[in-house]
Amino acid sequence: MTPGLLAQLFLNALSLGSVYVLMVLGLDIIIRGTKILNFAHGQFYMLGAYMLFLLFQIMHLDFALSLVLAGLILGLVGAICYMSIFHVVRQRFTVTTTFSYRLLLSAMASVGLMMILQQGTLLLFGTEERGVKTPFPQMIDILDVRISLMRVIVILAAIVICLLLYFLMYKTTLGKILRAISYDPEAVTLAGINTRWILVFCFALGSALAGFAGGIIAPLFSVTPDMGTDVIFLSLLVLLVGGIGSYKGTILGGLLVGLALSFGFQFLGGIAELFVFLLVIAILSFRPGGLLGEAAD
Amino acid sequence: MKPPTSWKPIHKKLAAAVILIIVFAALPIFIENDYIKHLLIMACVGTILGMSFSMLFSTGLISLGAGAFYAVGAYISASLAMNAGISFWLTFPLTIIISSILALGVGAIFVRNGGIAFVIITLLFASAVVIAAGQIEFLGGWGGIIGIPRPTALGPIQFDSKMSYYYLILIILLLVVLAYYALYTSHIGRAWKAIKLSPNLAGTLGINQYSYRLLAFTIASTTAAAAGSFYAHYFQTVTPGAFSGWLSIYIQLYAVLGGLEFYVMGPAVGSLLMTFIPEYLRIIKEFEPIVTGVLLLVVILFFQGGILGTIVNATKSNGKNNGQGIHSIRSWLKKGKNTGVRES
Amino acid sequence: MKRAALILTLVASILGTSFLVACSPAATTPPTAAAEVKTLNVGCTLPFDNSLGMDTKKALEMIVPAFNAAGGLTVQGQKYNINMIIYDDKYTADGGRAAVERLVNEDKVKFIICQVGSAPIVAGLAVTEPAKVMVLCGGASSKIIDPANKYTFGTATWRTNLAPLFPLLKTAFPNAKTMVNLSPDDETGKALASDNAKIATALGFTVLDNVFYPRDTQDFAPFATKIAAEKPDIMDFPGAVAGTQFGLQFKALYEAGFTGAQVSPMPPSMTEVLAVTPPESMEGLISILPSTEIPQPTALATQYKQDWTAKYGQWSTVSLTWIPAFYAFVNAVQKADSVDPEVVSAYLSANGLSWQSPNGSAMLVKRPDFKNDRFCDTCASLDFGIFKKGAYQYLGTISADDALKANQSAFGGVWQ
Repeated sequence: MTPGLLAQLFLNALSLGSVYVLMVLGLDIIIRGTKILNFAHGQFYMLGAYMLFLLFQIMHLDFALSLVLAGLILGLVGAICYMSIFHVVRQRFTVTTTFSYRLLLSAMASVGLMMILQQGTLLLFGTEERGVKTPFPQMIDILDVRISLMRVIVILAAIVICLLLYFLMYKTTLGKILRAISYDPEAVTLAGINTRWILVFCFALGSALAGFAGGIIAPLFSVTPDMGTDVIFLSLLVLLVGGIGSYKGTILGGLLVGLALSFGFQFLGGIAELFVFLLVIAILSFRPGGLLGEAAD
Repeated sequence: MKPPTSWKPIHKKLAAAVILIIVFAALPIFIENDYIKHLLIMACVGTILGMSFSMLFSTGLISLGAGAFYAVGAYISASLAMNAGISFWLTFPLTIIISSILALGVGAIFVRNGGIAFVIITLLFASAVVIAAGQIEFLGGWGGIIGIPRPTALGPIQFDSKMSYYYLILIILLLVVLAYYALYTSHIGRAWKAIKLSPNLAGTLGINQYSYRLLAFTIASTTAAAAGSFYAHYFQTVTPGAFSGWLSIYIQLYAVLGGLEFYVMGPAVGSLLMTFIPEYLRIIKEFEPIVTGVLLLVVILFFQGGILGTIVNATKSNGKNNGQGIHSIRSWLKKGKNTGVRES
Repeated sequence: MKRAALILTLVASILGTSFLVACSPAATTPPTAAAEVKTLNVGCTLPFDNSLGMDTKKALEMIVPAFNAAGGLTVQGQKYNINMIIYDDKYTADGGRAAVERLVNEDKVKFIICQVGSAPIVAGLAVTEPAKVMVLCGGASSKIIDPANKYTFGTATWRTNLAPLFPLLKTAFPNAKTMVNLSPDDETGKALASDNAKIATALGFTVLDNVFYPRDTQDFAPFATKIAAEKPDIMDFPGAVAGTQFGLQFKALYEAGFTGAQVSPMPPSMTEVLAVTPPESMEGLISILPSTEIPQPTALATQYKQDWTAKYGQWSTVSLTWIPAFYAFVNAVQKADSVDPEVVSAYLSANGLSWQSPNGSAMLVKRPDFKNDRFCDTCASLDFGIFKKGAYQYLGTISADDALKANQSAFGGVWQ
């Protein structure tokens, strides 16, 4: 294997992984804050791609502006969904409601939401598969290592988002509240903070990240109604490898799965995905709770 | 929270069960249409799968991997029948034995992860099984196995009609119900319930959470595999695509819709609804998933305790509104009246 | 109260719009038939969530009423109008099985035609064969032409279009020696990749690698990297699905620096492919062309395209792919002069059939290589083109007879 190929494989891994990192950061924020295993997250990602298709391809807005708008719109959609569905589900719970019951009901509500969003998009946009013309068609070619500028931008965007989230989580009061809520919501309420809006914010932020992820990959891949269902399984896998509730774990997990897939497809062929699954199961049998997470109940 | 098993005296419950059995046993006599019989058969399979989900849920674990062992069972049965040439009457018990050993091994790893991690790892396992089945040439690859023989004749009973398959699955269902009922009412069932309510408290009482959960996982997975074995010999075709991750998600919809506190009737009601409602929605076929999604949300939001929970609470109507009980739209609109609801 | 209003509006609006839209398209009732005309129910299952299925559904909803209006079927002096019953098979085995159960047991159809996906078709066979329902279907799976089946016929050209295509490569690229196959990791992809390797080796090509990608892959960069490193002369895409995924493969290979020749047995759906990839990436692609896109299309093809654009607006080449089964069915019933599926199947199995469709001419063939000596598979005329400078150039047409000969010499045996 030449060094050029090795570098190319690492670059592919980075590009694969950054998409999952963007997806999973949102998923993780939602799980940590609101304790909802949101199966509709993939549909938010899909809607983000469709938003970019509308704003950038049809309405010819600026690419960066379309991206930000896609994120904001999806944040709004997320907030509405949370307030009209998940918050109501939550209100049904009492002190005696067990953890598993809460988890199951909100997950099932998200499955209902998923069906509605999925089929709604299909009816609205039709079955025709769409694409977004890439705004950066240039190729970067250094010593036989080739990557399109668009992919570099996706990787950079993932890094920027990671840094921004780090800043939000660890350098601001809001971040402190968000982190506190994931440990003990009651204590936060007792401290006189209205957790209700914080949770809405959590869900909206997570959805906005999914929308952003869908938007930024739209020029790389195709825009289809079922793109969300395809991506959610691997996203959940990344979440699990890194450890639920661990910010660094998510990034590590994304990179690890990217690497495993990139090298797997090169050397193992079709069974690469199976190999990744087995790898994850092996990791979890030694470290329940993921690489950097805690074994939580 | 009042244990729901005590809502009627035992003899009334027995009478209800006998009537139900007679009704379901007599059903195909009045139904000419083979298609409806097919739906009933699939509803029975769904009920078994839903019950296996409920069993794990009774220990506080949410498994999205029922589809995985459903597939494992179907594949074991199919490859035994095709390669060793043995009939359903042997493959069925063999499937149960092999899959219970497999479930024990897999469960030993999985059960160590609780909460959300368990949900995801079982879902991933379901996907992994599908991919593995597609990759292994011996199992027919993505094309699957076709031409699986029907169960051989038992004396005068030939398995060539929907009717015979319906009675076969009804008997399997009955056996599963009896076995589950025995488990739930034994000390094992009580230990499960204790773990579900409070894992830590149960631990202090000397209940080994890990081994009880592993037991539940093994039994639930084996049941799903048994349903898979029937599926293989009924469909006579097994393909990996039939067991995608979404199947596992549908399975728990059965349990949630019917009512999580009703371990047998809940999945049965949910499964019947989820089988027949989409059929009648075919008139507006493009909207079927939307209507199903809205129905699901409505049940979760307004009929807590599922459909059965709502009915039971409504008939009881002694004014007490416990946490899992009915929350009609009206009481929801009068927000704030139900005490004990946490704001956040 | 605010929240209450919000959710109630949400639910009400979703339900409201569902029913509104469901009811709004004028329910297309079949034209009231004259007293002596009978109705023949014919079934079909299609995936309603992708354009493959939806465009085929639209095509059937167009050609069947037109066929009825033009006089319908005449069998033993009795006139029949065809009534198509189309259900969603979700492109899965379970969905297909449920839909076929319903067609056979509830609607009592005797014929099922124009199915698309291998998984729903194969799952349905366990119902249709014992019930003696005749099936004329698409789908690439070789299980369709299994000798055990008696009432099932494959009308898609998946299994027979590689052999005629490859000699063409030889003339177009005389210096090419090596080849890599990129196909989906499913039954279709696996079967076609091995067929492909067999034919390519027989013609003197060296197959360097068979690369398989998971069915729903979007990111083809890892595969393109691997293929570019192997530096094949020819890149082949057996079993590729016509839509954007095909385009993403061209794009990834182009970005990885692959510059060799490309060949595909299936025509890409150009609007979808070009939505995701620049036309440069398709340079030098040799593929089968939709028979409406050649310089002198047949009258049937021209008429079909005209009717489609008049009815639906935007033209879809995908809609052509799966409808030959309908024309085969109509011809078969009239040739056998019976609407009894057993009689028609027996007639076809023994005598074969030739028919014309907008997709060109086609005929049933035997498959001795699958130990099936009844007429069960299809050879059809194929139009070829090469993609140059942003557009397809027509290369030529191979007749159904020549396709048959090419297959016979590649796979052996007597096919007729």
